[in-house]
Amino acid sequence: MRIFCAGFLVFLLLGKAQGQGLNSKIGPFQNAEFAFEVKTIDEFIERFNNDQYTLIRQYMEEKFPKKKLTRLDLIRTLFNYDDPLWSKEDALEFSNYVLDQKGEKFLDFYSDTWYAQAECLVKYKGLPKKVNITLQVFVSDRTGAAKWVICGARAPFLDFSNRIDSKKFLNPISHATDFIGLRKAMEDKVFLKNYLSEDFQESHLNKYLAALASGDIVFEQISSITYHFLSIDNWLFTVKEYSRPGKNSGWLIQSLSKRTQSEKADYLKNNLFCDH
Amino acid sequence: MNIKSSLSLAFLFTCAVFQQLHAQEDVVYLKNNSKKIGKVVSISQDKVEFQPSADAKSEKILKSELELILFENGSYLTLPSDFKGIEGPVENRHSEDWILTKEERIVECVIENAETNLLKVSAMGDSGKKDFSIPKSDIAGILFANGKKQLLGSSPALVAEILRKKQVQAPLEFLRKYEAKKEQAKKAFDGKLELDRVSQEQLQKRGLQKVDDLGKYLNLVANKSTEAAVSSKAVDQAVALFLSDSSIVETKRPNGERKQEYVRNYLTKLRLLKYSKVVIAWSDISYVSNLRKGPDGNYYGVISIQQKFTGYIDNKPVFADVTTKNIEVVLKTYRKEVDGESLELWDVFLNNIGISESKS
Repeated sequence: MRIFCAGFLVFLLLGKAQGQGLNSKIGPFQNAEFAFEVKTIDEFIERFNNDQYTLIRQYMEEKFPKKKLTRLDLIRTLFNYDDPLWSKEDALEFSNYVLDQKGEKFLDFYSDTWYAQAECLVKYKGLPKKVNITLQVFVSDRTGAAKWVICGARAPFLDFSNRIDSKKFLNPISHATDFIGLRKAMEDKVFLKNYLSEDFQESHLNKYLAALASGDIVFEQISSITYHFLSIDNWLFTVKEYSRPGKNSGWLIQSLSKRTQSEKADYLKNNLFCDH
Repeated sequence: MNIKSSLSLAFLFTCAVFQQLHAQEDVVYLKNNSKKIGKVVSISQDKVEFQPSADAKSEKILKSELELILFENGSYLTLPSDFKGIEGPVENRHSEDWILTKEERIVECVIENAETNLLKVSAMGDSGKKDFSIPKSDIAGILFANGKKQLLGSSPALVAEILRKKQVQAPLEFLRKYEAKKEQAKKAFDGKLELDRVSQEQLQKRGLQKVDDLGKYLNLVANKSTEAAVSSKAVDQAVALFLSDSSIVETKRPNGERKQEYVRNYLTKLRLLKYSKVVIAWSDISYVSNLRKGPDGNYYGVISIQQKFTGYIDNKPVFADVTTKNIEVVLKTYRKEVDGESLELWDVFLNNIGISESKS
């Protein structure tokens, strides 16, 4: 575990020596910090995959030609070290797993096993609310063209009431009266779930889209984004943007945990709210 | 690494000409490998009368000098021939697109997309319609049912010979090895489709050049000493760097509030800032992502670069900040008619501009 952090600190110090003369106020650009900062998720994936053309590699080769960057060095730069939500043990095990000589693991931008979750501010009937929208990359098999598509949404304020009253139902002879009780059931909004099948599953995305279409929801802006990577077997990690001075900044691993396939399926449903 | 020093190279980077397509006009190919584009107005026993354009004088060419005529309606005439109609033999018209193979065969199919170096084709197989991706380097030419043609550098003599033989090959016999499989498609389109590293770097430099140009226009627009007419022109020139007027620029006020504006509104408001002088500078170092193909056929990437904004009043700096700008760049294709030929050109445009948090 110590090795995991110690190596990273040495790496940071190498970069720091270069930037010490720079004035941080209205002075020169913070080029060293900029080179280290993970500026986009594209750059995160490039570093994770040890891409030979990624900016940090070019920068280090120019400034510190004797320092040979390994893939492990690059992966270490991808963790958030300020109040992390991952353990050093997990980070070390994860790095070893990704770098396994028998089969290194890489991230694929075009994979359908990573997601962006945008926390959005909306107005619902004039009142400020939050909605989580989940997106993923869709690739056309025919043309290879890619685009981000919405695959899930969660607006808790649109949830149906879960209240159950065993006395409320449409009796088994309702058909004989041409479902005369249906009108009363539809007015009984708090107990609507009583009138549904037990295996009914509500689609959060459908509810959000319906509210958007009716004008009840008006989109305002995105307040934050988290990327969720489920693509590495047995592991799940999230990436968030840490905007702060210093070299450990930008899009960094926020959390890292071991997850089985079934746990990932639950995560997809319960955390990312994807309908598929 | 020293990206600005290489920006001058970008001036030398002219838009890549990837493909030549003949517009729908008659094309007469001579035995000396030259060609003439326009309209065949008559064919006699020994001459073809040809008009390069509606207002040009017609010229007569000896049939003995000709190899092939490809008519705008999709018909063709290989020479020598006694045929005299000016729209080509009816029997030589074809209702399906033709691929001319290097084995001198004709493959009938439906061309879905011929705009890149990878030809997209569909044909009916045993289990329904199948898609195929064929590198253009593997074929001799394409004759579309609608009269368009791409000879792909093949000699008119070779094309004439294929058409003379008219040996039609069963589509799947030729296409089978080019079948586009799902997984293969994803691998092939790994964001670098048809764009090798050299092209990526050239296009990245072109994008950085546009960012540099934008900085110059921003400085002009924001400075109170700039004459109104010059400033107005600079706004137009800056907008022309963008994909369209609807590109969005995100800004952040000193109180942290973020705003999004259409690019022209952003530039117009820049003129109204309280500062007497504004200096906008870009860092030497920048990050440029790979370009990824979008559903509209354009390629999309991002340039991350530091921008230092300094506002002056009475020549004294009163506000400065450094922000990281994330600038979308779009590699867009467009067509240009040159001498009767439709050339497909590429250029890079700026699109939406977002910002990261200020750090100083």
